[in-house]
Amino acid sequence: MPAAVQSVNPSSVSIRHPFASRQGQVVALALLVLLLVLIAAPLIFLLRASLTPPGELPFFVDTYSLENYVSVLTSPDLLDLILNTLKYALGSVIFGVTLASGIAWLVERTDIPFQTTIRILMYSWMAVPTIVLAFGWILLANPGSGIVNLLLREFFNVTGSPISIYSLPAMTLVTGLALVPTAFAMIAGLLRNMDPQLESAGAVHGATTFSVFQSVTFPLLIPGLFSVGILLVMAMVQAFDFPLVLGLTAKVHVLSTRIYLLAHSDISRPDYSLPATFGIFFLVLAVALMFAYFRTVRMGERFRVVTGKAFRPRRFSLNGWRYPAATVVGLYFALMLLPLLILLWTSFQPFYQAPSIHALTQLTLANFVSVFEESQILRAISNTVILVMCSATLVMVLSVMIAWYAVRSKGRIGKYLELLAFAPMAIPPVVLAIAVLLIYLRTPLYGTIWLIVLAHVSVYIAFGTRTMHAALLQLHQELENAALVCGANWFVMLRRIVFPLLRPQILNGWLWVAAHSARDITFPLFLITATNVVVASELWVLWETPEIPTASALSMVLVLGLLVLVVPVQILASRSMAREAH
Amino acid sequence: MLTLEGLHKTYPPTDPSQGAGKTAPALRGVSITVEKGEFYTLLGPSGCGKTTMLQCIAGLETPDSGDITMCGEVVFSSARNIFVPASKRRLGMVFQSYAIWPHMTVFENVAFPLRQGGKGLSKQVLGDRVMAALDRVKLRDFANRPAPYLSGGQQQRVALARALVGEPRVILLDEPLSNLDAKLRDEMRVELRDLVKSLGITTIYVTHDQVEALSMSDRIALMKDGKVIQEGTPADLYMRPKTAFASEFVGRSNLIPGKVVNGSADSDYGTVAVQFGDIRCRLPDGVAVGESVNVMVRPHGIDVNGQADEINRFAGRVRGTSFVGEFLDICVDLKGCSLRVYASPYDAITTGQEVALSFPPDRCVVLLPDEAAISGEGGRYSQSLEQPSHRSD
Repeated sequence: MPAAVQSVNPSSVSIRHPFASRQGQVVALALLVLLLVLIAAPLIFLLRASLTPPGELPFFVDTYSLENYVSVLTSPDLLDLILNTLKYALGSVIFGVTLASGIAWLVERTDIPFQTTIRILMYSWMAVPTIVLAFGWILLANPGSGIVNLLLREFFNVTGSPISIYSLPAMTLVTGLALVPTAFAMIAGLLRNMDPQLESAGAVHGATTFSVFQSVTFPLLIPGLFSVGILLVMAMVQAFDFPLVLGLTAKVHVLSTRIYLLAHSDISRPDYSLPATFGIFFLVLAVALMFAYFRTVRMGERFRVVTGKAFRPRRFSLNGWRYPAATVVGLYFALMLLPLLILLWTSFQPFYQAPSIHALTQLTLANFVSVFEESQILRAISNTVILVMCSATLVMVLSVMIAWYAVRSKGRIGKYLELLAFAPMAIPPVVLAIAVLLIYLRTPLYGTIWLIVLAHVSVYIAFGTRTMHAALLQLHQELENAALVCGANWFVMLRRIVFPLLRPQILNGWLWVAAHSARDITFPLFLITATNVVVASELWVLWETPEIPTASALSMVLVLGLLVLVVPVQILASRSMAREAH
Repeated sequence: MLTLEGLHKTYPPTDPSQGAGKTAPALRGVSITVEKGEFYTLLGPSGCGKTTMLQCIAGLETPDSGDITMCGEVVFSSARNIFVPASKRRLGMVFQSYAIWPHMTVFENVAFPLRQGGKGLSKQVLGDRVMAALDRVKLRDFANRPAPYLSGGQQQRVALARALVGEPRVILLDEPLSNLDAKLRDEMRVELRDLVKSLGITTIYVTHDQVEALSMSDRIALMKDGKVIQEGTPADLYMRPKTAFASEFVGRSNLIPGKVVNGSADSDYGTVAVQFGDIRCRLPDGVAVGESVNVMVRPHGIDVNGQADEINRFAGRVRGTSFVGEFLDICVDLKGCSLRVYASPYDAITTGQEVALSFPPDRCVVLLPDEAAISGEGGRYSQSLEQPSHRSD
């Protein structure tokens, strides 16, 4: 009897949902294997590569060596690298979060005009790739021909180059500005979900508006802000695009760019064992930050300000300051638009030159013509379309299934799946890129766009799973059970009930993944060959050539394409949010 | 028709990190048999295992051990390692939240079961059957309405139509009336029973509401702590409860502790000595002289100021009154023993007045001490025993 009981209710492969029985178990195991292949296997290869003698590939030797570790630890600039990385990450996050908190407070808790517009602009910003922004800033503020320097020379009679984008502080500042929209989305959520009764209680018991903010609102927000901060520091430590475009010229190296340089040495045949070792160190740093993040989140739990319930907080009246405040926010957007405007200008010029009456006579469409005529660029565009569509769709389909197991099945597989899917948060993309390179270098997949699709699926599944987890928690389980009792099997239930009901969240997640997949240059650059070039990597190639006007034109095409994808959805979402609030 | 044998179920602890602390079993060896066409109710307080049992029948939950047979087909057997999934059991079910899919119209919701399992019905036949089901719940005109634009009562009808449309072997109803307002609930009670009875479908109904259970069921299984405490017709359960728990969960009751002073071998009747005198009443089998028992009598089973020659007649004083309308709820003190009595609202009874109470012998039920009920085996419901739940209000 006990044996029989066990076979019915196997606690070893425990998917407690009986209706998930055979089909469900097979799918769960398939997902587990897939995640192991996508995420765990590359890391194991990475570790193996770091232990091979320098200059060797891990496939061809069976010796182990600690030589790489010795050379990393004894390299004179390791400390500088780590310090640079931390300075860059902390600096940009502190600047970005401060600015974002201000704007979020104005939008969510005051009567500032144009709230919906500000929101739409913020949420649409993900359509602007970082690499494009970086190009724009170079054209604006490079020491030689940067417009800002030209203007300063002309009007203030200064000589030389008073401003340079090629420095750690400038890079940090620019990154901080670019970080604001992401931080805004997170902080606005915190402010929106705060119970206004906590503040009212302060006011009723005699506190003035300012002292309520000082003694109630702000202290309650601290844990939330702190965890947002750590999450962003984690992301910025892993950042690759600004450090690549600005930092290489500035000779300011961070961990991610150092790994890239090591793996792409021009002078010798590529040596992957040393970058793999740097990758291991990088991974350790990222995982440490991850634990710090979880600790703060758990600490924040104690405050429980964010209840997940939508409140209608009271809004602080700005009175005469409404329009000045809106102007300040407007200035921020103007600053963010400048790099795009200069790229737009350059895309219509035969060569890069500062705007002038003379330059106006030379406007040309030739750059756009070459974008749509050069076969290499056309291939990049079609590859990008494949990449974006496939990775976003795959990520969302897998995420719904993984999240379903995590939420609905009480068994262990669900937990493993969720944990594995979350792991990429702590793996710097550069590290995963080098690991993916190592594992697939000798396979037919190398050099195809599908390898980048696969890498993007591995990276973005963490975001997808977390979004879908939250969405599924809102879905009453009886809606699913009803379908099963009506005779639907597990797949039919997912297709007919879960997917349609979660459509808005799935669409939002899809857009996020699509936009980020199109923006990313880490994987395209690490895995680049003549055949799998995408728009992001082609931009970098053009910029380095240098074909700046063509790069500008292609940048504009990319931004426009992403805006067309992202903006309509953001407008719809903001409208429906505004409707709910009134 | 439907047989459950020896069902056991223990849920795994929700938080595995909190040690291997055993959670209380949800079902401990439940066995019931439901006849074809019967309206069978699982009644009990929340947490008694009734919903778990329904989910085991539906195939949404796996018992740890036991057997479930449906129309002669074994759908679950731990010993033989059989598990037929929910989608293959040919059931209809109405959920507590109705579970109407908000992204479909009324028609699509109801058509869903007919489109599953490759039945390959023609469009015409499918449409006819859906409309017939909607006719039955009087929602024909709502067929093309999106599901979110329905009132609670209408959603409930759609759920019922969806459960019936596939001609299920058994229909399962999980507290379907609990989300409706009081007036609608009264109407639906009658309508629901008439509908399933007219179709002759075997029905399993889960509720914690004694009024629903008594008024709708052919038979009731009263559950507590994962066990069936008593099974029987509504009248059985109400008139002849076997335990203090049963008497207090179904209807209101006075429990008067006492001792059996004499019984007689040739008749069922005997005498129980209680605080305020001797009560003559029918004794259950196997009760011995000297044994401690409870005499249970319903508040409206007691006659107030009846004929002087009645037996079991005692004098008491009214301690308080409460005018309910349909009856007069009075509290009477009988030598320190306080009893709840429902008198006629037309009797002018006031606080402090002397009244004579008589207990007709066949309305007095002698209950043996209920070990499980008193010590509160699970420990979880001991509180609900101290404060008997009066769900009727």
